[in-house]
Amino acid sequence: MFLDIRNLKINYGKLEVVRGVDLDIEKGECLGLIGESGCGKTTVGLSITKLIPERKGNISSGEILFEDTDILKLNPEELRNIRGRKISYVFQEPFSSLNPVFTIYDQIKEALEDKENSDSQIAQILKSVGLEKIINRKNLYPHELSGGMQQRAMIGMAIVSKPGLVVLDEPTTALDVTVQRQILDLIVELKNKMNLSILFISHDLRIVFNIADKIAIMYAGKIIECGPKEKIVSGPGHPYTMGLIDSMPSFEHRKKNFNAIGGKAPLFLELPCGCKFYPRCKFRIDKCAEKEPDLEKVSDGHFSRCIRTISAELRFATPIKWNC
Amino acid sequence: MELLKIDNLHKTFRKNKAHAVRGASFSIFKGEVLGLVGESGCGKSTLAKLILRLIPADKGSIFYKDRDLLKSDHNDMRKMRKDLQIIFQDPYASLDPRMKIGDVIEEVYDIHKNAHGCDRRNKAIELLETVGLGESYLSRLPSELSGGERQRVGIARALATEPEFIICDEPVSSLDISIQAQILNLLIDIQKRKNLTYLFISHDLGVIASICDRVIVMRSGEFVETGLCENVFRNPQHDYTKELLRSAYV
Repeated sequence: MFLDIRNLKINYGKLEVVRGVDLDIEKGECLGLIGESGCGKTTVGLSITKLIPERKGNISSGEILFEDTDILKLNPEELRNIRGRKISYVFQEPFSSLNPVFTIYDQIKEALEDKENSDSQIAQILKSVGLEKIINRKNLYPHELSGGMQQRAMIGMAIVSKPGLVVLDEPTTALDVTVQRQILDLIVELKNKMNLSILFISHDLRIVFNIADKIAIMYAGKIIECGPKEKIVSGPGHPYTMGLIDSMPSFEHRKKNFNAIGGKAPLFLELPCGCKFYPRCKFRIDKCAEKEPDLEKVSDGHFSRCIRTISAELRFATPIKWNC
Repeated sequence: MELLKIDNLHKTFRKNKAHAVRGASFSIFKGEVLGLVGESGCGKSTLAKLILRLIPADKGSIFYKDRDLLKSDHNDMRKMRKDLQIIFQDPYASLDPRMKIGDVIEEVYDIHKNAHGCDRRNKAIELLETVGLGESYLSRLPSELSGGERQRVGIARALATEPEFIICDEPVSSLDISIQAQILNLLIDIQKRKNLTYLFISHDLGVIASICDRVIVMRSGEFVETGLCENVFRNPQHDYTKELLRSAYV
């Protein structure tokens, strides 16, 4: 296993926002982590290199095994060797991640470990992310680039040190559709060329379904379903996943009402007891409110945190009608 | 019936340097949902603002039921705006953070004088219920609401004047996918119930495909393709439309 997260729990103050997450990524694999805003997906991404400031949150238990070493046990010196070198990040807003007072050239150079022949190294990186146009323009500042080009530069910086794992946190959310597609194509190309492992965090199922090999769906701080992409697309096990898939706007949905999930995501302050999705679930039964279900096996590699998926009742159940 | 007829509308910014809308001509028929799709910066929102005369147009005409909006004076426009409403993209920016939700909606009645006294409060409650919120929201502030709830308030405010035509300017792009589906359901539901006409602006082809009757594809201020949604999505003619469809996961 390349990256193995086991029973990760993270607190922000007294609130537990990641309540026991298990994830694993193999070498060269892309895991898509899906969830609504505020479900804890970004927190999980940041915790992989302990990027959550200690005054804000602390990791109360769990293990993060990266190439068989537990990242949570490393000292700051050792962490520095991993951050940006072996595990790198690309965030949502390219403009706020780039430093506006330094040139793109300088910022990529800063990421280089070996500063000799930096010109040719930078040229190579810019070429690999499709920025051939700006190779000879050393005095170019971030604001002179479009959003898509900025994001390409960010990806360039992330792959400078040939990392094993790249965490992409909503990398295309701020971009237009056509640009979005180009960036995704670039990510897939780099992944194949460099045998990258990717943790792709997004709230957009359409994107994740297209680029991920494996999918994990997060709700209220826990993984509620995970498995290979094909299995989740064709036969989602958890009612929340079904709801998300039904909420995707598409041509097939034309002029029909969306089978939307009612209500809104719960606050961590007032989580319901039992299954956390219980108040919004269309397939709920009284038993669901008693105890939070475990992640149980549906089929090979496919797990779901729902008592009714396991008993295969869902297929025959009639949903509750929502007024929304 | 033709509700709005727009003819050869032009708008430039920065002393004629940036041509944001270049000769837009189209009609919107009563009871239809017309989609307007394009990348950011192509002039979609500018066109929306031009139609409502929130910004002045350079050239062209906008006929609303045989009256030229561009030639109407201030008082006429004020009356017209009862029929023409808009729902904005960012529910965080379009509500005054210091106004209670009840006041946000009742302010509309102050301006248009279409409800008085305690009738206003009752109407506001009724509207909030139409959009899936309740009386308890009257005294809340926007900061206490989630994005989806704020957008519902935005919809309630637009409905307060009982308009015939609503411009929805990317009403769901800043929302989570599950909330997005709820809001789209609500918009379609209201449209059918009240026989409203929408100009629905979005950059998301999936959203456009799922709710619109006709669609206009816009690029750098020009219309590159228009037609029934089925035809445009199944059989795109213009290269740009094809590229958009290839890029999107519809």
